Amino acid sequence: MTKKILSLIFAAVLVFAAGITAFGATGDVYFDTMLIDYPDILSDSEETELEARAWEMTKKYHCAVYIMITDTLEGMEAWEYNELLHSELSLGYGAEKSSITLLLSTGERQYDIAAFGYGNTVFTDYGKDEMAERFVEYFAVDDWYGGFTSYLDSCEEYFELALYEEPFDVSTDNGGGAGFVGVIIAILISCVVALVVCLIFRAQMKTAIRATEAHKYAKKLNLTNQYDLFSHRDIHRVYNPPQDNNSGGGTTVNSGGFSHKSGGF
Amino acid sequence: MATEITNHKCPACTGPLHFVGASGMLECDYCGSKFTVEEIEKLYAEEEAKAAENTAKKEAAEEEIPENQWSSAETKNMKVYSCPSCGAELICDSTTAATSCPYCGNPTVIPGQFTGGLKPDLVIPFKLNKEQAAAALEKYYKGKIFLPNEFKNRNHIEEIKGVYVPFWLCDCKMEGKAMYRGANVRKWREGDYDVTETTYFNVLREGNLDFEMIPVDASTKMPDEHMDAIEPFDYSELKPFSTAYLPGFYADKYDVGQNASIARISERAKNSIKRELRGTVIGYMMVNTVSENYNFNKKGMKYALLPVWMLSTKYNGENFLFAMNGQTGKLIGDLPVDKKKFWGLFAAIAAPLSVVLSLIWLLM
Repeated sequence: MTKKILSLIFAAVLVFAAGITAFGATGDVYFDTMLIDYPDILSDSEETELEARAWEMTKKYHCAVYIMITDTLEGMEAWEYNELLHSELSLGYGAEKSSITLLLSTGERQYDIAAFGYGNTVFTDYGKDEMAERFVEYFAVDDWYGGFTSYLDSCEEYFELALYEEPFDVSTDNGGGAGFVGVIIAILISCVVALVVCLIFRAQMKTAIRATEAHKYAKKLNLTNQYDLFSHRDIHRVYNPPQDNNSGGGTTVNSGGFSHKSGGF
Repeated sequence: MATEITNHKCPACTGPLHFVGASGMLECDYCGSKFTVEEIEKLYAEEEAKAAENTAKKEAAEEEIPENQWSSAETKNMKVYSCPSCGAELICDSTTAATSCPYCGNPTVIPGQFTGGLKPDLVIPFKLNKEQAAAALEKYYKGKIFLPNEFKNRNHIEEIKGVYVPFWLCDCKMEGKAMYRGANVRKWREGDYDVTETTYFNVLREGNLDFEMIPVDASTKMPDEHMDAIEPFDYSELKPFSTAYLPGFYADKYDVGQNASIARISERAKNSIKRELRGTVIGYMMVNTVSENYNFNKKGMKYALLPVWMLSTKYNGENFLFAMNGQTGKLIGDLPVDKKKFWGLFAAIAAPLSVVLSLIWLLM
């Protein structure tokens, strides 16, 4: 299995061994190359900016933030591949190996978010769903930089909430001002309902309406010719893996200590 | 010069006769005598023929108009009649066929308006009277929550008159051919994939639809919206035309010809067959019309006078016109809207609903 993902791991190790990192090693983070772009879909400046941001968050929140980009999952499931990366490259921060890793495969157009250690506290199932919903919009149109920026934005937001309030979850999600937005929506819905009711009553005030049909004077329709011919058939397939039922909140952690969110784009 | 007209007078006391819808007879207000339509028709047939003949002769002689009187443009749409009861000169619209003398109040019929090709084929006599029309309007106001209070309280009917409105009743056939694109969608799951299958069909529908007596008002004086909205009339009560049904009501002869009315009739017929054909396209989740073609064939047209009560009121200097089907009692007309009431109801619904929905949202 290790042989299968040789390409990405080999690239990562090469980068790591060559010390091509702007940050230098720290005792808390063994693998401090926060972004590996094997298919080279990001420009150098984008890579530098994203990796710097990931590193800043890693230091500040004591949880490693990784972006791993490959061109093939080599026949594996995305979550499986991501877990393997974690163990082979010793990803994570501190003794707990806390991390959040976004793995993206440009070949299969699939992604997986894997959280470990403290990452499982910060990135709840609901949080990962919301995060994925945001970045998938970018990846769907091949806006890689936009997608990874969105991912890092979400990470920062979740870290802040976990640090100063509560981890982002079903019970704590107010949509970033969604409470206010919700009230506005409630007012708008109420206005629409009120307007519809008023217009129904108003319509009763105008009954002199020109006739557009003559059904009252029609006899039975005489059909002289009719057919229904099959034309063609379109079949459309959309990848949609089963989702964990996380409506109750919290984080579902597997036996390996990981929690995941996978999907296509 | 005044044109000849006839009064239908009571053979018993010479008082004016009125057609009464409830009894279906002509009744004398003075002595209470009642006469059937046939009796009066027989009595006045000769007199009406003479009056029509004299009217035609006088109209031909009225070419020269003395100076300082009406100009030719003014007289073009106007006719002068002499009331046989009091001798007063009545100036009417050129299409007026039955009216009443403003001086003595006697109902008068102008037979020349309904002679030759102008004679209506059919008539539906009035069934409902003036009091029933006024009561219907009062009832019509009920339940209209946006009606201004002043309109309801201070309102009085400015004018109420029973009019025999000229209508064309058209028999026709509409042929139609339409192509549709029907589609059915099926969804299922295959492993981690959602699969959507859309099956398309080419659908043809061709057919024809017969129509019997589509009515269209033939008077420019009557608003089309009002005349359309009081439909339908019960054609089982159509009777051969007789001027004996006219006394006590106003009547106009048509001033919109058959050809000018065809556009409205064919449009209505087209919309109906369109809906009928579309209604036969079933079994599809989505249907789009690809192309359609319709042909209108006129089979025949009848000229009929149909009974309508016209009521008008004034509010804030604006006229409000109502029309009631003089046979079925269906009343229609546009009413003024009290803006304060409109926005008051809006606020009364929107405000508490906003609070409730906001609370639900925040508690979720």
